[in-house]
Amino acid sequence: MEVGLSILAFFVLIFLQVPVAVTLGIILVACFSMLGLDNIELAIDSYQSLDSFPMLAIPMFILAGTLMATGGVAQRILDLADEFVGHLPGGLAIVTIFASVLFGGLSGSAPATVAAIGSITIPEMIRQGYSRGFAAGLTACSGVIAIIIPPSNPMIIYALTQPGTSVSTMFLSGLIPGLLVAVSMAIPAYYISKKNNWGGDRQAGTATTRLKALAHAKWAILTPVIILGGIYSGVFTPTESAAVASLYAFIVGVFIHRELKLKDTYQVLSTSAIITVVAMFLIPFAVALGKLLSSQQVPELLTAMMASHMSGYISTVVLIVILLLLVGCIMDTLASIIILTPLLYPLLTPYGVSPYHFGMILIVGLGLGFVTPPLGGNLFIANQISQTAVHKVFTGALPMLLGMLAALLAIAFFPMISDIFI
Amino acid sequence: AEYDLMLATTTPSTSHWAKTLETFQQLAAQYSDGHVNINASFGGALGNDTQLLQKTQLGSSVQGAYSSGANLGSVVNVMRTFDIPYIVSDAQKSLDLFYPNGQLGGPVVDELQKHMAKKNLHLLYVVPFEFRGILTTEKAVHSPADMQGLKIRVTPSAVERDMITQLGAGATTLGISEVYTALQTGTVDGLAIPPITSVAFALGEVGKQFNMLNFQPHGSFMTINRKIWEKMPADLQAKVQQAADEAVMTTRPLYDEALEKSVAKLQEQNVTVYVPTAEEQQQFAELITDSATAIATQDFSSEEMEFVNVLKRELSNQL
Amino acid sequence: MLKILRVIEDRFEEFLCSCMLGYIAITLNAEVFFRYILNSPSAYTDEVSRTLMIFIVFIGVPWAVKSDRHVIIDILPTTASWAKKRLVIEILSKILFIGFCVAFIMASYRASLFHRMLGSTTEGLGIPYWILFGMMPLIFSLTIVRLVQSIARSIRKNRKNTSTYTENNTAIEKEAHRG
Ligand code: NA
Ligand code: NA
Repeated sequence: MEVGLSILAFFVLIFLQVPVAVTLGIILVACFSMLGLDNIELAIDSYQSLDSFPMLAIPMFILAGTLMATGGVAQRILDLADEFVGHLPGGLAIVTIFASVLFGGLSGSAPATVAAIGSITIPEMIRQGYSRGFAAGLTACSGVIAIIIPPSNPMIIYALTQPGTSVSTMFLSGLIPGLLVAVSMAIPAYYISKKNNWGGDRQAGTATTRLKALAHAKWAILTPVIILGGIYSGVFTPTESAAVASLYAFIVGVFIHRELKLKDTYQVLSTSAIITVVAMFLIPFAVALGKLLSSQQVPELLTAMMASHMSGYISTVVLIVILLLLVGCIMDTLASIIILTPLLYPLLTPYGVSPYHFGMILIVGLGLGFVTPPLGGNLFIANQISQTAVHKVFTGALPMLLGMLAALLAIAFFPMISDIFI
Repeated sequence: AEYDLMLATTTPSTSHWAKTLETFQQLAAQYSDGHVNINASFGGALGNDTQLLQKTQLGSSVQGAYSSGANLGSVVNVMRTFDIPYIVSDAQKSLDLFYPNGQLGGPVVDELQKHMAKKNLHLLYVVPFEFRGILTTEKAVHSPADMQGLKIRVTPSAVERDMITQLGAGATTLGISEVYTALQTGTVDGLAIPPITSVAFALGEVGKQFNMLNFQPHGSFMTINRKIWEKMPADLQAKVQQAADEAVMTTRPLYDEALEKSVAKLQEQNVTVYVPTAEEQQQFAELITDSATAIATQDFSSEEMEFVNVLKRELSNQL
Repeated sequence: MLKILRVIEDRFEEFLCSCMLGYIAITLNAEVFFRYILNSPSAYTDEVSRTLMIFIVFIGVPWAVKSDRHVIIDILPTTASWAKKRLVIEILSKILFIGFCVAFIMASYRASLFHRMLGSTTEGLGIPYWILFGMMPLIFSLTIVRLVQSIARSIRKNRKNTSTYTENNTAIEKEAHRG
């Protein structure tokens, strides 16, 4: 009853053009009062949900992206990519996906990856004529790869929640699924781009033009080298790497490319700040809602409801996938992992599912939640970078989401994909 | 039930800590004839340690939190006393301090409850203390000199930071979720942590040297909202307290087991577990104890100093 | 004097948020330097940057109202016949937003009193939580001011445009065409 009412209120408020974050806020205020809870807790939850050091990667990568765009770093990287794949339809879309794979090798956060890659590729895709919704939606999906390819914050949380699993083995399990998810998105991205004639409107680069672009981009392509090298040699943490990337883009933009004027710095900060604000304003209420739902045992109730319909391996797996998609829509990923692991894994143990295999189903399944409304962290960052309405980002993302869903089912039904290295 | 209490913890539902809580749940329902119903939330689903403690103080959706002494120390000042190196150095003695006759009570508890009450908290139970050792990635730490120049991860605790810098290492604040990767890549070289926790966070996969220095106590305390506790009639309070006391006593052996298992697990992960000599421990103690004591108690009021005195007196009586 | 006031009125939140963001970027880099080169990192970088990030997000709320950047899902028709209805809905949505601000002001004010009573402070720097929570009522009062200004602006604009309403009214779409 209360749940039905809340869902109805959600749609009414959204239809009335109340901002998404405020809609959640209003629903929370109403739920707190209906349940007789003290609204001080709402204030505490909203404040504390942002009090996280790793979360700093989001504003820092947004800043790094803006600095790279203004200081010519991004342009040179993209010119270089263009030389190699610009003659293929959807070339830049594929580059976005595999840049996310590469970046996923150093970042464990999906929204931070969207901020880092998207700040560079979304504006360029739009410039090359891709539709805004597709460019933003594709990048929002690509960000999910970062939590499947190691390192991954959600996998660390999972391994800590699930007894007897090691973080490093869990990381290994993510390698093939990560690549599989990348390919599953690249296929629809390629066909959609081809159909719409996006990209591919230039001649293939020659060895000379390619070398020239490479030389031109030498400082720019040092960016990933510095970030990767710095993290793997332990000079800085993945979170700090975002700030280091900003500093590097600033130095290259001002002193080497001389395209970034010192007086533009304020403008860069202000542009990055407003994107940060709007993309992150959702977090306090999304997290508070997640806490409220778990304190009311909603995930437990949903699981119990579904468990009664489970008979046999296939129906159990399918229902678990549906449950993960539902929960991913409304709850924060990390909290969901903690709550759902002990509830769902026992349902699969009779079928001999290894904890690593289950972990992959859980991570990829909840990973889709980063792109599903109303609470999709990636969706909101892509929407801010592309300046496209959220529903258009989501419809743009749909084909890639379906690709990911296919990959998820493959991961669920073929244990080999996750267990190959165990 | 008449009294529905939600007790929340960040520890996982499969741990020995959870066993104590589950035992308490059952006994509380049984002894109170169903008048008191304890709900439990594990794994930090309702928030991190700071949030859970604040929510417990508020007592709205969460009425109790299971917190480390370090975390409680940022709310109840006197708890910082337990951060002082070697102030308590034995799990059984830590339990005797809070349960002198097998029941929660005695001078230390009485004194502590006064300070907890000021923060709207009430101590319900304590489990045997753990003790922190030093886990490092490559370099074995046997003496303070070995700490020189290492990069060590610390929590935001001022006492911990001071101990690490007194030993000549650099102290870097990192959240526990970042530690694994930081050790793996060498952003930090080690950290002070109890063996059980290092296994729980899989740190034995990336840290290869463990010195069982046992230098800093790490207590875990179940506190509940004082107003809600005081609303309960005295006879019910007594029954709930009896359930809590028995839960701690009956699950007591699990704590020794967990420690043994965690050391075995570390060795299984090819970690060299080193047991220091009394002399080596003394070297560490000499360098850090005075300074850590000064920092832990620096802004204590006279009432708070009174707690320190009672604690010290009780500890010396134990000998 | 008036000009200075106008600049402050216009740029207050933007200026604060931008400076805080720049400060975080600088201190995180400094932290890497102090740890890696000197092995003597600061005790406070972590807490200072987390706290600043929290305030960037919250102080950004009135700023995003002012610059029409909050994320809305716009599925209403943009035809001329809907112009009036869109204005009514826009005003209604902002009134609901004001209602939320009022609720959040009360919640955070009470949270501030609660922390004050208990004397809670942050772990590292020991900043009293009542001050941190006490900023929220100020920030959300400013948000209400921005919302009222924005309603007034929309009404004025609508008066001017009623005869020739063709413009796409969505803030985000507007931005999109500009950029
Ligand atoms: Na990753
Ligand atoms: Na979602």
